[in-house]
Amino acid sequence: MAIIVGNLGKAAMDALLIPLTDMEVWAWEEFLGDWFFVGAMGLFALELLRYALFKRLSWNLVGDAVANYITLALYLGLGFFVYGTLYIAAYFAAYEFALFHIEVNWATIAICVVLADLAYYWEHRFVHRVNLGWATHSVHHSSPHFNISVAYRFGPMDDLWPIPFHIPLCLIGFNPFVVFFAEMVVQLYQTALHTEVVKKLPRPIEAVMNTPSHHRVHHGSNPEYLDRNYAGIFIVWDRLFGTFAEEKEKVVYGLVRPIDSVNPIVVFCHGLYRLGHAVVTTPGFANKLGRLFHPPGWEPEIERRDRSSVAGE
Amino acid sequence: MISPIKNLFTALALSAGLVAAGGWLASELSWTASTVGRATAVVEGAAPARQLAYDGLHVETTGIRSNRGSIIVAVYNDPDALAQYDDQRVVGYAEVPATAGAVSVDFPDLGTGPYAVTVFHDENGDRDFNMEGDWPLEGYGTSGAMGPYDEPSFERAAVMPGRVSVPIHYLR
Repeated sequence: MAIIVGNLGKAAMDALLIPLTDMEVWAWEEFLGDWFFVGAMGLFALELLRYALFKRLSWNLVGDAVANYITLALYLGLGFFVYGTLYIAAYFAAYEFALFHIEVNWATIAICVVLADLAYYWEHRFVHRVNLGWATHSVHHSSPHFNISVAYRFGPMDDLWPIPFHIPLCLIGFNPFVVFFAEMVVQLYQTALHTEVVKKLPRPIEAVMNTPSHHRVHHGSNPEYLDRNYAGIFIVWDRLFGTFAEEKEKVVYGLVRPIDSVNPIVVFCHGLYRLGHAVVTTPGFANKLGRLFHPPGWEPEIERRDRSSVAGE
Repeated sequence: MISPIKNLFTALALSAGLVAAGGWLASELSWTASTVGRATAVVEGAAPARQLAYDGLHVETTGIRSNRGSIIVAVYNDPDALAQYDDQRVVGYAEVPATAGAVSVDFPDLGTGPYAVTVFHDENGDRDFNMEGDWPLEGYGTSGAMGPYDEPSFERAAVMPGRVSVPIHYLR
């Protein structure tokens, strides 16, 4: 019996270690991404039915969903024409300096997915806490609804910020195609969380994994939900780094300053417009830099003083 | 329950450490080490008694598309020679007339291995592997390759004495 189990274990280990080529990994990535999208459309149809059933279906919700898919098209276009080349060039340049020799097989891909999830945590925290990142990521958060179409709501620089945060994985020795694949897995996992259909999952799952409940909190504009639950796949990163919040009171989705628009161009560009406007209208070079690099909600000294003097009158 | 790490720099340092540890662990999960290590162990352990049992290397080249020209087979025992496809440093070399389908070549004098085998289909008979830039114009194959775009290292291409089958790939 022990021998059979031992041999099975060995066979499984062998299967995990069989080398894969770059092209195989890439083909898997395309396959997963494309079929996941088909599945997501199916799930969205289900959500629309549910909205209709609860009499929550509105023109605003439909217009919002249409805008989401238009931002997806704009994002894919920018990815293809602008960021794609940058992505490939940066990753392969970093891979030249690889610290370890890492073979491409399902075991090393699994490790890369876990590390890509950690990299995603920091990327995600960055785009929430630095205005340059928030200018693009606020697009994703600007929907007042929460359904799977919102997962496909992208901003103009959403393909740029992942690059610096995932380069360390190439530097340590993961093949760039494996890193692309791992990023895709993290993205797809999180995509599936954008739903109100699932309330809470069993406690051990909620403890370790990111879930629809945790991610609803992330999309909340309630003060106690702001800047919480950045995780992609594993919620343990938030628990470990002190950014976790449990879903308790009802979530109010969207931005603290709502955009109140379903116009796809307004949706796609509002973040950059708001940032640009703030930089241009803020006096002083240091203050302008502050606008770019400080967290959302930051105000330069002068305005704070103006406000307090007004308040004092 | 451990208390969360609120300090940004501690958190980032821990993350960097996790990435390094994960990279190291992944570098240990190697097919090369597990298979070649196993094969070498068998050869070394059994060497004194089994030495005479080896009757060299039998290479079968499959997937040949035409009867034109010849199939050229090279056997390497040196990783560096394989990496450079250095035909001055092969331990086995054979040219046989091509036959659509498969042809076989025997290297009866080869020892214990491990060996790497490369084959190509010299269709125009100039005894050279013709390329256009990086693009092969003639059919080719390497032992252990997972597909046409895989260029395996010696460790992964390594085969032990006995029968080995090498499929040929044509890009043109």
